[in-house]
Amino acid sequence: MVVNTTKSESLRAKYDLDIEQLDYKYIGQCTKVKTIENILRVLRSGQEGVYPDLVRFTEERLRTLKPSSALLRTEQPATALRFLDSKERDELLSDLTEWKQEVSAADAELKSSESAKEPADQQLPPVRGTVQLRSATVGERKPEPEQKPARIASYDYAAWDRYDVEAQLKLLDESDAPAAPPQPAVQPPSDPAIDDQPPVEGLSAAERSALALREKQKGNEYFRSGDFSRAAVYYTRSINASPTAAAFNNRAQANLKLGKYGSALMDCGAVLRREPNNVKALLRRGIARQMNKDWIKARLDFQRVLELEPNNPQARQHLGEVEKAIIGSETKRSKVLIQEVDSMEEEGPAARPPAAGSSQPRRWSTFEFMREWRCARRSERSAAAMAALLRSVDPDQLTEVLGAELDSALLSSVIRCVDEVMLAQDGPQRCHQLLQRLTDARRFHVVKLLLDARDRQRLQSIAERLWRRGVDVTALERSFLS
Amino acid sequence: MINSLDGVGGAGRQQGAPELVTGGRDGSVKVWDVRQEVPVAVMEPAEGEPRRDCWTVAFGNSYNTEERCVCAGYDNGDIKLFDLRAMKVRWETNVKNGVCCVQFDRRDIEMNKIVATTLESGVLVFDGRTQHPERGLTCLRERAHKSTVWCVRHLPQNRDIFMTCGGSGSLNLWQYTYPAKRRDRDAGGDFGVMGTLTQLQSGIVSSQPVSALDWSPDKRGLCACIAFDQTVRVLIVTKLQLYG
Repeated sequence: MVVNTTKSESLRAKYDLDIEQLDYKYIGQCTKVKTIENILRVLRSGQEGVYPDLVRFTEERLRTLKPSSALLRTEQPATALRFLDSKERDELLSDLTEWKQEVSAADAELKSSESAKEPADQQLPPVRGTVQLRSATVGERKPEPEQKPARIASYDYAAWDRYDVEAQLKLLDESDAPAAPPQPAVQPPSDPAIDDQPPVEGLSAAERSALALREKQKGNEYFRSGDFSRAAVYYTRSINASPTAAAFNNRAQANLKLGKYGSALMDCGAVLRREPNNVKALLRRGIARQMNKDWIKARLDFQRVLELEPNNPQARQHLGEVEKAIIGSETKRSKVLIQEVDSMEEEGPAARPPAAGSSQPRRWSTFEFMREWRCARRSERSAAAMAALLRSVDPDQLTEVLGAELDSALLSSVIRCVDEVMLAQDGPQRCHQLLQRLTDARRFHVVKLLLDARDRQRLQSIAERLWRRGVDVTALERSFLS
Repeated sequence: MINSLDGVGGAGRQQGAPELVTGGRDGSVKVWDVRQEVPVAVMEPAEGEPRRDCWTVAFGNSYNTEERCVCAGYDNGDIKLFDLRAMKVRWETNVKNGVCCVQFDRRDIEMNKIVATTLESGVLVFDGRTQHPERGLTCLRERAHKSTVWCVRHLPQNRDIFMTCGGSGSLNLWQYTYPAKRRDRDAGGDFGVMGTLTQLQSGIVSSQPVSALDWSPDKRGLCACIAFDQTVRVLIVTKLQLYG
């Protein structure tokens, strides 16, 4: 009993609170969070008597001052399904059923795919050599705990059979190497060697897209934590696993934050090829162009955003800035604040590749066309990408679009593209027309002399197939092969 | 006797060798390769030193095929971080209470955060990105559950959200928010700066301690937990998409 009293006195005394402070008036006026918290602790302890109403009043006061206070945390039983109201319950259950169907479909696909079998061992890194570490005792700290490899007794033949000489040698090398210079206790915060290429070998399409989604999530996490360079690395990994518009779009945003406007521009281009009306990509491309002082094109992008979303405040603001810059002068430099173009996109696998045949002819400038062409040639399925690009050019304007840019590499890729993709997909007439227009291009008669044997073979095969499908190819053959 | 087990690696999922790590009552932490019958690495106290009970182990920092770390927590409050590539103790500390559970926020990225839970309601978050030569990793402490915190599990879809399971039968959902600047410098070198921890939700699911929990890797918010009342409970946490 005595102990109890001293204790109760000490709690109020500990916080240095006067008995008069435990009062509605004082608590109502007090603005110090710490004091209110201490008063609440004293009141809750019951050592000064039980005042349920005053406790509630103090809690309310604390809630208005500091809603996140740890003292206000309450634990309630988790809600059981049967206590949810019917609308919420139905939503939840239908969401779960939907997910169950999706996941069992994905599961069936994975089981049927080839790579579901055991992965080959050579894909995995070798087993590390057996090592033993005697750690430092508690409290005292050894700067460099010595490393004692397990010693194998000379009579233990089974162990010697398992002894991997090469692994041990490698281990020795490893342990020698860092010992030479006085090693800093902490590794310097340098950029780590994160591979751009995730392990995709031998994975099915479904597995690759699942991997791409996971890598994109990691990118989003790094983005949220403000680490934009690592975010860009993980978006690149996601793209390498399976390219999606969302990953390109997020990488564009990371690149904008890093000040890599050229890369951001290319990423936005990749998104817009897949989803021409993606507002975020248009806005980001506009900003990248604005930062590159490409005012005119930036204005086009912002105008397009406002066509799609007339009330987009950011597009309005940027458009205003760009227009001012255009009107203003070349000498006056305007400072532009980058603002975040919304947050990350979650939906990954829904991104669609450009639909064949849906591409409508557009007016290309030579520069634009050549840039897109180079992108297409570098892309993973280059023939298909180039075909899509060729389809987007009005055949009658091909000569104009190509300008003086026709060279043997371009001609050779067009021939490959026609041979592999377009002949099967676009029909003989279209291919004939395309090749015919190509012969009118500037420098054609010089460039055709530079074609190699393989291209000539392809041309022969194209001509044969066209001829078999009833197209008169004599003129074409004459211009190409004479 | 084995108290704790964790696994990492394997083709298609994560990079690096497929390995398991076990923490035993004799204080030894052993790393096993699934292709071999003897452990590939053993970390234990030297002879003559007191052997503490190792309660928990976790893999992390496995962001390429070579790098890998194991974090181990002991009954006396020791936390040790072993670097498996360099085979040395990278960092160690004592948190004064037995460490029931440790987990990296993700195994397959560079070490970012480590969460440890202890007896007597301790939840500790360490920033693994910056290690000061003397002060080590920076730490953020929270008190929760008013009892032993048995387990911590990060949401697979968002590494900054995690659930802790308490001896009072309650579950707490937390979100970590990063500071504006994660690193600062003093005379000795760089040190990490902690952000803040917010309790998103708290709920009681049992009258007995909840000893383990795991999230579904496919469905955001779906999880299962076990408690001492011999019941497995399946829970769904809704509205998680609001947090990123």
